[in-house]
Amino acid sequence: MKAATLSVGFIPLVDAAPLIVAHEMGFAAEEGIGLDLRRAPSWSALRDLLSFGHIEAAHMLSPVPVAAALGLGGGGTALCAISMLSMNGNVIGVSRALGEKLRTSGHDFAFDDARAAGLALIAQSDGLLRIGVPFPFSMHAELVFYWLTALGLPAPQNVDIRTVPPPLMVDAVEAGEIDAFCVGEPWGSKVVETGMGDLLLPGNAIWASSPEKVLAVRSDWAENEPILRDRLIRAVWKAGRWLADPASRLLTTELLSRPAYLDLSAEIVDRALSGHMIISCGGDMRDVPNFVEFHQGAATFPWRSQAEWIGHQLAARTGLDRAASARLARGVFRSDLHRAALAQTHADLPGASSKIEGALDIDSPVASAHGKLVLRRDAFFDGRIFEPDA
Amino acid sequence: MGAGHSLRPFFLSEHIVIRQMAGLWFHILFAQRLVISTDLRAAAQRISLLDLATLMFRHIMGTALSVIVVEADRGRALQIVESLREAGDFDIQVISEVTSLARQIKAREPDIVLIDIANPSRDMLEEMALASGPLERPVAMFVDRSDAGLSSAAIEAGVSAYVVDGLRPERVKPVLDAAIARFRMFQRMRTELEETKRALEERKVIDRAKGMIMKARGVTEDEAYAALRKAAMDQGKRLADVAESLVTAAGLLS
Repeated sequence: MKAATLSVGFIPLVDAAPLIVAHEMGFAAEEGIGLDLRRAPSWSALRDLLSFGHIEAAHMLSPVPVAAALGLGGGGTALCAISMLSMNGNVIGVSRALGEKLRTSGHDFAFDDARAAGLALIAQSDGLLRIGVPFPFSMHAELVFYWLTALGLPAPQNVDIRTVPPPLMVDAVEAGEIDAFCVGEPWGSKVVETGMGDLLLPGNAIWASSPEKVLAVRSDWAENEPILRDRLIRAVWKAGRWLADPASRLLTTELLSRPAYLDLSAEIVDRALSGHMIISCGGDMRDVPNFVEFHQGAATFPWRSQAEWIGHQLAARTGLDRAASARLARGVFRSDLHRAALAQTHADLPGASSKIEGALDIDSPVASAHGKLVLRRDAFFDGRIFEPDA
Repeated sequence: MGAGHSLRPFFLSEHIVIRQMAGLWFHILFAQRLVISTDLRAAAQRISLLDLATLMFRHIMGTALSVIVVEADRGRALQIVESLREAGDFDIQVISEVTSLARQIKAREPDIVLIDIANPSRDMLEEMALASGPLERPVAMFVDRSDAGLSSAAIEAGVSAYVVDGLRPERVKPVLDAAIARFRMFQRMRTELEETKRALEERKVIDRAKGMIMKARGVTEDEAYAALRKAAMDQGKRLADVAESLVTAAGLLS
């Protein structure tokens, strides 16, 4: 049998790892598919390549397919998420100048307290706080909005959240165009390496288990190609399981650092994978458990409740009807397809497709197919919960 | 009260004035070889003088679509501008500095923005689709609206276009057609350049492999080449690949 080859787009980030590993370590071949991995220059270009059928699947910011369903932004093609690729993995950083001010004011850069860090940031920023994020529809933007709004600094009145492509983030910080930023690795570490800024918080200090990247496909493709779709889900799930093994880390960093992928030193790539983050050019190190997760706690499972949360937040910001948006969003994360594809594997998936987001303050066992699933802590920093409609 | 009175005579003769102005307007437009739709004249009789004057001004001064080209490479930018000029009468501006790109564009209020699909700054433009304050004109990707074939061709050619909401597809098409043609040319040039580079690299490797065979076996250049070609045919590989592995292996042994 000749293996079908799927074109899959990605952005050179640490959390593209499941796709790169699925290809390089033979998990795709094991499922009888080939992956033609294509590096994309920007999120909008990647979305368009997917929307217009130039590629079959893409490494995608979790809010992008939801935004498309709500009619926000470009691209009118219906997209859906058939797997999560990663949970967490972002960092928030500040310019050198702002970092200095924070230090002088007594902030300890503990790197785990979103409330303390946020209040310190608000106290030290004079006037409008300008924060760069990679894309208007991204978990980066959502986390920053959630965080600052909860601390009493609502956007857009007091916060200017602007899009700055990560490769230009260092320049934007240097030029004084932004005071702070939220990016995925390795970009945060790159800012630290160039001495342009300090890291203030990992994304998971704001939401302990946030849905970061999804495996996105066109909704009609998902319907019309059930066999390829299921193989792709399984290949990526196996890659995630391999990534979760600590013994895989060395090889993973080597693979990701190759020129065709991230084209970076393995040392920088390793920071996110190990959770040993260097947060200042002085070399201060912080250990961040679950900095980025590809497998544990059913990390690949596309929770409908998380899609709803995204839809709700997007609607609140753009003036759309919140309930209707949440309803539309729910259909974008295909927990049904994900579950069906993994039915014959060892994957221990949750029995439910939705959960109350933010309710788990510690890792907790939940009902699952094999009865061994422990979900990761998923609390929001302010202790609020989000109850989905269904 | 005075102001009201002074306006009154205008209103009395409004109908005639509008008719006259509409006629004049038609002549101006005609003289400028611009298109006027008949319903405009009918509409002219229902709207106020001020509106009419504004409309006329816009039509005469602002008929040309305003197009912004985002391109850092000066040579490429000039070529794109040249192609657009050939395609029609457009008001074209080039932005080469991507700092605060969205802001720069908003300030210029273009009808269409063209940007290389490979430009990472493109994500900044996505913001404009969200900005919908009362005075802001929402900008959307042309692609999701009407002509999927055209947008797909644009993506293939490597150009993306952002178009202000409500602009008629037929006004956008000439701009996109010209841009697509030009970007296809860029793509061909890039492919040709890569091909040439590759061919040169391969020739260098083949020459080195030939030299090594000549030295090792004491044969002529033609004989060395024949040996290489035979090895390639026997192994079902490309000549350049066989030469490459020979050179690599020799590097390991030396």
